[in-house]
Amino acid sequence: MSKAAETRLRRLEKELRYLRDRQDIFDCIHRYTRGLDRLDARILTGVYHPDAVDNHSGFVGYIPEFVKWGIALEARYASTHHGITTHTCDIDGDTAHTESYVHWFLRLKDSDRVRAGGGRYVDRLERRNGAWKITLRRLLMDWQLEADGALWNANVESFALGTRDHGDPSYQRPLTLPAKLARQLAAKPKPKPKPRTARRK
Amino acid sequence: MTDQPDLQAVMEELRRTRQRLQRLEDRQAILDCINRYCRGLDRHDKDLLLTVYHPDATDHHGSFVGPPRAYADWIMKFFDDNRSYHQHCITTHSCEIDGDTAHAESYVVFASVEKDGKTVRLGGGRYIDRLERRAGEWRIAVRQATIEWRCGPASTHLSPAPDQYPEGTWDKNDLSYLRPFRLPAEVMRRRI
Repeated sequence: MSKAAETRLRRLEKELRYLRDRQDIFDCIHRYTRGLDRLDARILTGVYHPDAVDNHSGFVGYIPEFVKWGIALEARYASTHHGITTHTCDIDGDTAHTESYVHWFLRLKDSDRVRAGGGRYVDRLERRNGAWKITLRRLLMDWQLEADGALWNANVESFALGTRDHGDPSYQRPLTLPAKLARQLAAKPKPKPKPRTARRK
Repeated sequence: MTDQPDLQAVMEELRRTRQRLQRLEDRQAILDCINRYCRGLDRHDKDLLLTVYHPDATDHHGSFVGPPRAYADWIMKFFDDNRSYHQHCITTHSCEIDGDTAHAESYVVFASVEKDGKTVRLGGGRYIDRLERRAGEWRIAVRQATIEWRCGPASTHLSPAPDQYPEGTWDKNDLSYLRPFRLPAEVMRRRI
């Protein structure tokens, strides 16, 4: 291989690695909120290195205990919804520092009240054996409100609700419709596939 | 040299891979720039805020139209005078790149706590941006901010930091600046 080609290849590898690191880190942070909302201890545990520390509210400690504490906390609500939004990330070798904004929406049990709030996960992540995981996480609270959720509760009948176990559709592979909806669908005419036109190069 | 044509094919493949990779890098750099804006704003970090604009850029935000430095002064004064907290969250984002120019639309959901420390307002809008790459760096050249919905104040702010959650600050003491990030000694003492 010529020297120029080798240099170019090396640069490509470096750039590709950076983008993959960014994606892996972002995926890790999203996996956490998914694990939390589904009360899935396995997913939650998987986003941390075994010796990682989490500091949430009055809690500070290691992960096996944090996962139990966090799930018990979330289970007090009828449902929870956490969304990651604004995200910034600095990578330095095998260490990364990130800030990820989070919105949460909580439906209170046996109540018409809902809560919404926002905060930030400030994380230090490390790459070990090729896997980016959290070694230290702190949640900073920015705002929280409580409001009338009667509208939300009134609509529960007409919207599909998720569950907080492996029966939730997000775990299903391949995704299919439940029998009742499949029957509804079967009564409808199926669109005919369009004849394939030659693809433009 | 029978392998000469193969080498050429490899070089061509490398060139195309380079192009595809460049596109991904551009997309990442542009989204990073827009996220950095929110971070600069919410931490009241003018230096960080100014890194998202080219110096001759124009921002049109409500009653303000002007260059980045004046915008930063204006918006920070507005927040200092009217808000005790705010958070700007980027959600739906789309982006078209044409050479060294990009057009992006980024949705934003914002929450702000008024000076009374009790009233929370929520709102949503979009940042409509033209970005340019100059000297290898993507920054905003023109920004138009929109606000499309607002609600409140029919809401009661719960304590900003219930149950020992740390509060964010508007200076470099905010935990997100700490490198390497570690827990404060007083927190570590409580570790079980």
